[in-house]
Amino acid sequence: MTEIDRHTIEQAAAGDLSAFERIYHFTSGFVYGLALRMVRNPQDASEITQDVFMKVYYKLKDFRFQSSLKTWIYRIAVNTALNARRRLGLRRTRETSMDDNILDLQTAPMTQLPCAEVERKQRLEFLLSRLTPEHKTILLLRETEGLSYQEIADVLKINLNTVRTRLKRARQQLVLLAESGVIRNEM
Amino acid sequence: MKCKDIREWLLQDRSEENDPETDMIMAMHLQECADCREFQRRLQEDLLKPLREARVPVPPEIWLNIKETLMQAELEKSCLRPRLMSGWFSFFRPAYAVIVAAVFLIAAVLYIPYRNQQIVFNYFDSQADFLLELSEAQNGTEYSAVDFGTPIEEFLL
Repeated sequence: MTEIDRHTIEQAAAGDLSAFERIYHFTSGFVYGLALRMVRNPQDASEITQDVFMKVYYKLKDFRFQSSLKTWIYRIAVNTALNARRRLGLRRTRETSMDDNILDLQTAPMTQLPCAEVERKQRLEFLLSRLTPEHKTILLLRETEGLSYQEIADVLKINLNTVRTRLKRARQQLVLLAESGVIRNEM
Repeated sequence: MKCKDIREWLLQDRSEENDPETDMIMAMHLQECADCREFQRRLQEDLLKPLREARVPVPPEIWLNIKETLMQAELEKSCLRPRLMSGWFSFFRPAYAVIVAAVFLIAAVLYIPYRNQQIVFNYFDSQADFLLELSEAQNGTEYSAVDFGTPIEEFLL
């Protein structure tokens, strides 16, 4: 399924929980992943995900089909995750080693992966934790979720040129961090 | 073309750009320049590929919590409001109010002339009765309800 059909959305808006569950399973991966990378704590990420889907459930009747539902949910998720991050006072964002280990264990069954793969994933999580929330969000939307430039512009409410520029800067930042000694020194 | 420019291009996501000329220049440069090829490999393989594969499994208890909360909220709502009436009051509430107001207005507009008509008819009836009684009393044909006071007062008149 590449998109949620209108009938399912209407059913969910009318209070059908099984239709809402289909929407949840279609979009929860991104919402939880984004929340986890923003707050770097599985418990807080779970709370944010619940918060997002409660908002979606109650606001679904106001959805006007002007954008895709996926984009609409992603926008709610991005705003909720950014607000939660601010609310939590960034207390975990710069504390790296301990939470990174927790996060790494949560994100994938590492024991099944080759060592090089594990190292690469850990390295990436560490680099992501060093990016600004805006850069991290745009990279996740583009690379992990595969959203088009237009969809990213709709989610973040920015214009297409800003999407291009911000994405380029995010990648530039990622490369700079990878090439600088930050990993060798701090990891 | 300098390596710096090529790396700038590599940092841009060119999958949505339609610029075959630039793509050709880049491809030619990458064929010749090992450093830029290595830069591209590191960017794509070490940094972006893990991001593309970085989908996080969602803990199943999240959905269970959401479902429980929603069911609880629905239960509370149904207890607070009789289910039969909920449909009437939850949908198009302003429209419902407008319809009720319109019904009252129409009823008032129809009732007021009828009520005034009744008042006028009653007044005419009472006046007609009075005049009839007066004329009958004057003729002395019939006992009249029209009197001029008590018998003593009538006598004194």
